[in-house]
Amino acid sequence: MLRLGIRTLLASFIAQLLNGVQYGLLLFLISSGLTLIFGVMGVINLAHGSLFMIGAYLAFAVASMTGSFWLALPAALLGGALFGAVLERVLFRRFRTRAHLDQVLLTFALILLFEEARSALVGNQFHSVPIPAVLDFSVPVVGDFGYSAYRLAVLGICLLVAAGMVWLIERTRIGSAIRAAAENTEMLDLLGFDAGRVHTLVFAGGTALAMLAGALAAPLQSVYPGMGDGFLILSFIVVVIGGLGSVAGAFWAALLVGLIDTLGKAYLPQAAGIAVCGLMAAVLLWRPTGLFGRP
Amino acid sequence: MMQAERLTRRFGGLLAVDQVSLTLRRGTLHAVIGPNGAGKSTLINLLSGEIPLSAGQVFLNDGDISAWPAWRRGQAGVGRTFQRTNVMPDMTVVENTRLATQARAGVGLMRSAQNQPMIKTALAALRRVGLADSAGVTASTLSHGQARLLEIAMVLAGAPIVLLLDEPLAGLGAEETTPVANLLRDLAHDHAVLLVEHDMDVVFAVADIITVMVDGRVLATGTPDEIRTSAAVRDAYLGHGV
Amino acid sequence: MIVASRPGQFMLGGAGLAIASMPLWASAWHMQLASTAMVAALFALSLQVLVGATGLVSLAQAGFFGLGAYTVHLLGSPPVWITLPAAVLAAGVGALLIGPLALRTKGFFFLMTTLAFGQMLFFAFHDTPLGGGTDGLFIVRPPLGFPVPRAARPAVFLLVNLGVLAIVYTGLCWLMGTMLGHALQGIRSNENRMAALGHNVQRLKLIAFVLAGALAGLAGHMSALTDAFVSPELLGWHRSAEALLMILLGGIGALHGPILGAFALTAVQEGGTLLTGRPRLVEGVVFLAAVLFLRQGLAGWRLRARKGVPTSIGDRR
Repeated sequence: MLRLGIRTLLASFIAQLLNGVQYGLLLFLISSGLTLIFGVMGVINLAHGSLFMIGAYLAFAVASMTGSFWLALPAALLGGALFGAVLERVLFRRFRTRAHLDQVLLTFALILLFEEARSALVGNQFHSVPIPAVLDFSVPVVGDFGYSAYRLAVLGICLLVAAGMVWLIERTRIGSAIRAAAENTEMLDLLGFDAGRVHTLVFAGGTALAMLAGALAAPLQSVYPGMGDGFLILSFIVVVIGGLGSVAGAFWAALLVGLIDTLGKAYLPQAAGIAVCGLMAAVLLWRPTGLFGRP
Repeated sequence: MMQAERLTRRFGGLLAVDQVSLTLRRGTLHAVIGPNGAGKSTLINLLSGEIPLSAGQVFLNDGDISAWPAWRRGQAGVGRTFQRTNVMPDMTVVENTRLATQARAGVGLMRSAQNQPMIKTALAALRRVGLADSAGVTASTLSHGQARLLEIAMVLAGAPIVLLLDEPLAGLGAEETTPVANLLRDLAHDHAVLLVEHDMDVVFAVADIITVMVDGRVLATGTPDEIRTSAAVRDAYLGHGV
Repeated sequence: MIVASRPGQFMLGGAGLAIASMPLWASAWHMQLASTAMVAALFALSLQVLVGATGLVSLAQAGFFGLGAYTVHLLGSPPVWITLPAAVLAAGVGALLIGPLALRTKGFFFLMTTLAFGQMLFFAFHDTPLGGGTDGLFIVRPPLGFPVPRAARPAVFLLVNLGVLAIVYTGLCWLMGTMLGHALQGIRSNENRMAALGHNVQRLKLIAFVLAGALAGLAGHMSALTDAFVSPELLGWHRSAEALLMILLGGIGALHGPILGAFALTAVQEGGTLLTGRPRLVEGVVFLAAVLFLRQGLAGWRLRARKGVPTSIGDRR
């Protein structure tokens, strides 16, 4: 009996740990875009959480229309890239040099409009997206206790995307442009890059990642109107902890926040929100520019 | 009196200022010259507390102020101007100046800002730099030369002990330079003045002591005549056609 | 920060009198609407202490508003002379705890930290029994000290809110003329220069943050008193963003801007609900139009020709 109890505890702890990592990686997909868009363009995008929501709804629409969830992932990526490029060209480009207040209000307006568009198009009900059949099984972890294969797949996809981002930013020419721009906005001109195109690219990429995260999360939770709100706040905390404009910072901070939030919710439900806030407060006290931010 | 001892500042691996010591005395105009990147502006920033020291100590009237933030040094009487004009652009000239007086006066935040003694002090500072006629003008509409003068007036209005002037002549036309040079000479009578400046004619005309900095280090310190005749200075600096 | 000119003051006074005379000619519904607008104006004014006066854009303001409102409920609705100072105190203490941390950061970081701290306050009421459930709850109104018949409520609260708004506005007019007010405006204009001159910028910003928080608590208290209803939504950052919109609508450079903006936005929201049934759509369009086209706000129309009026804070380049 006792042995069984300990094994149950252990298994559930491992499951929560994996949940935390997987949640953190989803947070990374969202916050890496947020941090790059600010680092490179100097734009605050409060509507980033809505993009996550749009991705989830897009996945729901594609999955229910075609019957295949797998089509939803490329749809979210491509649709996100296109959507982001249009948003950047039409709106955000003009707000690069505007005051923070204007950026806040612009993106808040977008939140309201996105929500209204969603409500007009698909209504306000909760929807669920079934886990794709191929992955609808458990992987044994400890003894008989298993862990959802789909969650493991999400974990893997996020890690792949993270690795791809590291490669893109560290190894390619466009990546060096992005790094230079995150250091100093004027660097792009100095290096001979077309700043406008780099901005469009970064914004499109950030949007695509947020929408991909939404699509990946769709089978894990219900698809519902305010689903992006919690992610928005947490990803802002991730950016603050990780340091503005730092993808590496966003990665480690996202894992940390994901783990603390998930484990907190599992073992100390009342304190989970406060714990993340406390972490942020501690980082701010210690290093106001974030763990990986330049002082 | 302000004293700097072995001030050092590193930016990553670069030693921007390396063990610089100097003493600023009331009644003395101490100029610091050197090629671009010699660390002159960094030196001012270290003295004013804008950036923290990597090593060394700063004393104001024999008190150690090395750990003080910029605002506290400003309140204690360390006044500085900036290389690029740095004022409150949307406020009037007299309000810019009065805010400097207010900072030094300290307490009494709840009293009216229409404080006559304070405004008088501000106007006196403006008169001294010759900007009294523009007192009611918004700072952003000043000409470049006038804005440079406002910089100086703002510092004066705070009744400073030490003046740290970062290229006050930068961008001034020939006819604007002479009155400002005279003003600098005048300021040195009742202040300890540190002047960073590229205009060598002015520096050699007004300075009592000149320190030559190269690559973050002090190359030589002496009277203008000593510096002019120093072989080391000529080799390292003046000889290179500055 | 422009304190209204002499004719402007007369117009504001006239508008105040018009509102004060509403019990003589307006319906109960219109008086309630005016009360809603005045509570919103109080809230936006509290934020203007940070945004327009000091140049700090905070998204935590609704958290302090909610703290003030919930103080009424959590104290069990004692008389108003207890709840009012208690609400101001609770919100002020909240701001005093959050302020030193948030003010370690600047610009974008400050926005994000205030957003996060504000949301934490929201979660503290949303996720725990403290908030009385996610849908909110009706509360007992704290007694005003004299009996108020049900039919007289809209008129009484209208006048009470008008009185509080007039006092707060007058107080802030005075504050803007003090050395503190001028120093805050100096920080908005050029923070680093103010520090170099010898101003303790951190301390001044904290004073502004706490004062703004306390005033938001007062606004929250008036909201609870007027509506006899509190919900965690009061603390949500959406409400902070709405207050920012009121400031932008009314004019960032004017102390009376938030009052104009609050009335304008309340009218837009009410009109949007009545005409289209989609208030958020209307609000979103207004947000977008305001931020694209109306950069000096309603109060700024006459000021456009004047030089040196800040059109927006922290404009880069």
